[in-house]
Amino acid sequence: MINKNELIDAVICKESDSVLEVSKIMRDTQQRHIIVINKKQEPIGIISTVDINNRVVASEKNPKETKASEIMTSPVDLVEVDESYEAAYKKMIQRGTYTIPVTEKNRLIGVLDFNLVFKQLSKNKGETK
Amino acid sequence: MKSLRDIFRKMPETKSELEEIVLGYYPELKTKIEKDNSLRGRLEKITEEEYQRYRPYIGGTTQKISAAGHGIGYTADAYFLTTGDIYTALGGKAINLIAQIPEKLYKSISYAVHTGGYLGAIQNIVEGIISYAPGLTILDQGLSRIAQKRMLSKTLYRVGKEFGLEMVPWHKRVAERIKGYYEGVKDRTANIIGPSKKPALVPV
Repeated sequence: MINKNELIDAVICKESDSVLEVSKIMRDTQQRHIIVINKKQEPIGIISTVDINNRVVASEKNPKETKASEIMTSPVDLVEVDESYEAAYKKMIQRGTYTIPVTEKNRLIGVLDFNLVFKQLSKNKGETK
Repeated sequence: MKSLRDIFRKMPETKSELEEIVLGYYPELKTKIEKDNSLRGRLEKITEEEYQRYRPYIGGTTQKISAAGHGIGYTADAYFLTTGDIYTALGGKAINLIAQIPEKLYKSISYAVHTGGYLGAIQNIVEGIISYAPGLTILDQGLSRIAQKRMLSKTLYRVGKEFGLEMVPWHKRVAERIKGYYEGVKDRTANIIGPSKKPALVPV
């Protein structure tokens, strides 16, 4: 089971936020990815700086009028907090990502990164020896 | 694990755990230590002093008796909530109350005298009394956890003072750093979801 206290913070935006607002949030937090959540705090998509470049700027869309939900990559790979670190590791390897959002009863509670997963897997391996 | 509450927020039980949590709260200190290992000695001195001060009140026989009492208390609570039989439940709770006597009446006072944590000692006793009511065993967190919280709080305070560190969340530090480069940079606390890094009772 994943330890909730060890998760790292997730940077989020609402599905109704404009791309302009999303890009400002990403600038102010110096992140290259942002998780899009709905009203129930469920993660429904993810936006990267490349998505903003390719799906808004290069497509000549207006960032003030385009909504986050229109350019997000969806669905997003998730891991539930009661799943194992091994399950999270497999999903990250399959997708080739360094982070994965963690949910509890479908609500986003944080992000798990590769370092932490690797640390936990090494610890578990050490304990079983 | 000294308390059920550790499932949700782990409190340090050993000196190395205390050090690890302190470095988690002050990531910039971790970076400083990686660059200059002599700082580690100063950190270890503080954690060692605080750990030794609170160590006699974390765990031990009285804590084990108290935990066993809580076990009976939780069973009595569950019995009361499922059957509604308050008299039998109060009987179970009475055993729980008796099991709390060594911790509440002896160790709490010793804790208050030796550490100066008078409010924590009173809180421990009051929680013990209130938790006698059926269904409320959960309210008694026990002296170990109160001592652990105070130990963590005091250590964080001393480390912050010693190294001139402030507990500022990473997103606020980032916003502060880039304010000079971009216009209209805002505090984005509302856009952050994650585990709370701020411990209880941290002195401001």
